[in-house]
Amino acid sequence: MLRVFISGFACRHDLPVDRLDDVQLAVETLLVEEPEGEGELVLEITAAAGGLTLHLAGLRNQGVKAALLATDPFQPGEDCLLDVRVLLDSLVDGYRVLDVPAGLFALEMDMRAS
Amino acid sequence: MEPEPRPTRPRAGSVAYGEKPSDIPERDLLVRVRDHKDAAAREELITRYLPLVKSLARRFASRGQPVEDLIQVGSIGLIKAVDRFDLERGVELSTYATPTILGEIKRYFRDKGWAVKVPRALQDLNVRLNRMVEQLTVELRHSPTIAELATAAGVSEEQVVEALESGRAYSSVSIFSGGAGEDDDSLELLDCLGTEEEAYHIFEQRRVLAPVMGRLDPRERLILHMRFFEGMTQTQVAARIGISQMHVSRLIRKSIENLRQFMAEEESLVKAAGGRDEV
Repeated sequence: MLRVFISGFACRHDLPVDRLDDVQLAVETLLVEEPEGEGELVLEITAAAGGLTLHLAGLRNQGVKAALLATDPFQPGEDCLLDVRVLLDSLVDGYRVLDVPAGLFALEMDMRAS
Repeated sequence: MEPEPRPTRPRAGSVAYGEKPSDIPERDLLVRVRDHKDAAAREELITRYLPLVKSLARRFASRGQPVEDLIQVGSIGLIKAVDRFDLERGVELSTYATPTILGEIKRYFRDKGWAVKVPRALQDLNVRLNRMVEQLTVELRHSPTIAELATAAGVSEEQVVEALESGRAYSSVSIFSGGAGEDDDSLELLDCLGTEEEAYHIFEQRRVLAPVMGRLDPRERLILHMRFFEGMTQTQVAARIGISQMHVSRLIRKSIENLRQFMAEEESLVKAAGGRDEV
């Protein structure tokens, strides 16, 4: 469902299919690390100049947040099995970790159309 | 004078026993496997743990695959567990073998084909779109957009989105084949990727997605390396190895899933051993 939603948006903003696949994988990578059945996740997509910005809020896996902010080599743990930083570095054109209250965080990702 | 009897030599890969393998404690068998690659000890361990495989396989009895097939697949997981087991970890073989067997069974389901029922027309459109992506990438010199695909295929953008999405339901992405019916004329990946040494060299890099990258198939490592460490796009990877961009997409997803599964197995082992030492 989420992929269809992203696809629908992407086709109105001329995102090539390989870039579309990348951004879908980026979102899926973050979602799969989230604890199941806890809280609400909100994905907002906005059209920016020449691309899309995705805002994924309600993330609660602190292991992922630490991995995204880390400057040291990745250390896997039960709460973050893969180096999400390496994945996002390649899949999207830029991302920012945003702190929000109640121990949650949000991630903003930029995706250029070309 | 009678010739002295020659001492009995054990079979290659097995050690002479003073007792039946079935009477030997598990730890001693594991030591024999580790130190002597003892085939008889390995076989005995596999026999002892087959009931575990059967029990785990039966959990998946209602998923549409014969239980006998699942037992066979699970047995491969058991053999891998016996061969990879590290006595120094301080955990029981059963602790290590369980996630390995389950992982093998789950991979089998993933590789078994269309995960959900997809209408034939949508499957056909998916195959057509796969070909069109390749043609349009050459003609347009960039990966096509959904609108460009819709125009070329003479269908609506919604139908393109739906067909592309249905392609995700096809998970039979053997690294040796094109998958989903496309790429039938392409060379097998094995032929395209150069030597095993070249592929093995890949995981000597400093940054890896996970410490268990070494457990991936060399070709899976190569695909991930090209995409995530050489910075090649899916389209560039596809052009380099002669398969479709959509197949590259599926291979990347499968490789990441495998990596995550291997890491989960490692983590359960670390947890059982009471903490992280070295993975």
